[in-house]
Amino acid sequence: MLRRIVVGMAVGMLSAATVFAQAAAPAQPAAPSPFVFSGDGGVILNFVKADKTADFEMVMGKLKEALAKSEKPERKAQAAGWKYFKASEPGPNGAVIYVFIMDPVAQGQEYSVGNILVEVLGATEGQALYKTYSDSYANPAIGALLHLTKVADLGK
Amino acid sequence: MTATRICVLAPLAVLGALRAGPAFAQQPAPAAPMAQATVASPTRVFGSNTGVVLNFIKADKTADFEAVVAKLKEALQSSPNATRKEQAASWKVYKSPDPGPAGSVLYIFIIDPVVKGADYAVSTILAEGFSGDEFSALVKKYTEAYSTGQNFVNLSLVSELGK
Repeated sequence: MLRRIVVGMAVGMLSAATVFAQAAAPAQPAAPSPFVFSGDGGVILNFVKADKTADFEMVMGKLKEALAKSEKPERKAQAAGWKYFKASEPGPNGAVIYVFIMDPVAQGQEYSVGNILVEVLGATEGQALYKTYSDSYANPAIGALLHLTKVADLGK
Repeated sequence: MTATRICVLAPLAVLGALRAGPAFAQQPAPAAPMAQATVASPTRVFGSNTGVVLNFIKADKTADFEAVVAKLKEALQSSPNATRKEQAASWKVYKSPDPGPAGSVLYIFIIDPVVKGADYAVSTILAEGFSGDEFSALVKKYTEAYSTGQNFVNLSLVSELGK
């Protein structure tokens, strides 16, 4: 089941159509972004080239700045529940695994790094940063994108 | 900008491969307490600040697994050991709606922060809270719920984007 899924989707999936819009196409219902989490939490496993971790972390630093700089309360809400980690365990083909944990999720918001960078920093800087970010990814880029429903909070 | 750079796989796409590869050392399903008094449970101590455990559960055993999670919560909260309460405070359990390998259901433990040096072995915690037949039944239910086992991932915080 999982093995058949290896279908690359475009970065357009990572980013909203409004930001990285391609040529106009006949109007179709927009596919829901996988970066909008409808549950209580979200986890993304990112596979990054071992020699590009500094680039990845630099862009994540810019993302943090962008979230803080944004005047939109929904961006603040996203920032408040968004942490990222580096795994001790190596990834496939020597990749370094970075894990995003979104808990709690900001409902209805898209956790697209590219879109947020462009929205806050503008197209020129945002897209340049996004290129650095995307160039840092290994292949595959994302190992799992999990929409999570909370079952139990063992301390409450 | 072209929109073809990053390949985004469907949810859980690589997880199956990871489970078989070196990325996450897969642990077998937790051992049943065949001889509780003489066989020590394996310890589960995280060497990092944050831990994630991926649990692959049989689709027809999710109710059993969640029942054990509820008992785990009870054991942690009723424990006289302060460490157990501390563990409970940062231990959350999630379920993924996306199908896992071989039809399994993925439950994720997110432990953030980890209590340094504490043992997160579920069977050990259950043994502290329950005894006799009840304990044996719980661990049997727990171990039999697993499809293929668990993956433990040790994580170091790089950044909290809101701080």
